[in-house]
Amino acid sequence: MSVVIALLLASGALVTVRLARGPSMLDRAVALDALVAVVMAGIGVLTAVRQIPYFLPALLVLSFLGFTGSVSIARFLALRDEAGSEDADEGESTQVPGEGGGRGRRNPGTNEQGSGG
Amino acid sequence: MTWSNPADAAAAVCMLTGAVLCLLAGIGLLRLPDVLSRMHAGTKPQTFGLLLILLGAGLRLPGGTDMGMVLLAGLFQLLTVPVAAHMVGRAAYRSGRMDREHLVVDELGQASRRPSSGPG
Repeated sequence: MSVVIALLLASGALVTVRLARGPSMLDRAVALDALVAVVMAGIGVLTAVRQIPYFLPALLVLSFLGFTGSVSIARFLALRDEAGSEDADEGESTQVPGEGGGRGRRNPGTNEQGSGG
Repeated sequence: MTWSNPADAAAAVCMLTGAVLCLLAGIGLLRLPDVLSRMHAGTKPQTFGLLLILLGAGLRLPGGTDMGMVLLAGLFQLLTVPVAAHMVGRAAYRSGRMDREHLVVDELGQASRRPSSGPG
């Protein structure tokens, strides 16, 4: 089992390097999702080795936490840190249906980009 | 953990395979060039490795409710990872964070250029 733990630690280290280095916010979102999955795998290995079920609700909590973090970064933060791409964003978003709930909330970001450009 | 029990042996094999898949996901996440290919590395092997590790943990646990919670965690992972990857890929497409040279077909761009059939 120490081999499994070593492999998981190596994977977590590689993902953390990508999390620190990632050039855009979306790379960090993907890396954060992968890091949460590695932590879930570690909890699974701990549960299997010691045969104690007390950490299993943490698996559910981490699953939803990774989903929420990734979706919120992709939805609200990723379009804000790109400086020169507001044209592609607005041209797409006028034709994409099913996005009406969040368009008003993204307006500060587009205003900020419009004033910058 | 002994290798004499076949359930323990199967659990060990599952967890070893899952850990190797997690390591492959980490290597791919570090080495691939842009957001979409990193997402390809960071979702599919990661989810499959995690499911294998959860299967190994479920083989080691005695109770039924613990097995149910492991199954629930795997089911939630299968439900939430595609949605999150869809959102991230869409944001990457719309913010232009990708290599267009690596695209084979651009179905989202073709669908958004045709106003009669918008992207679903």
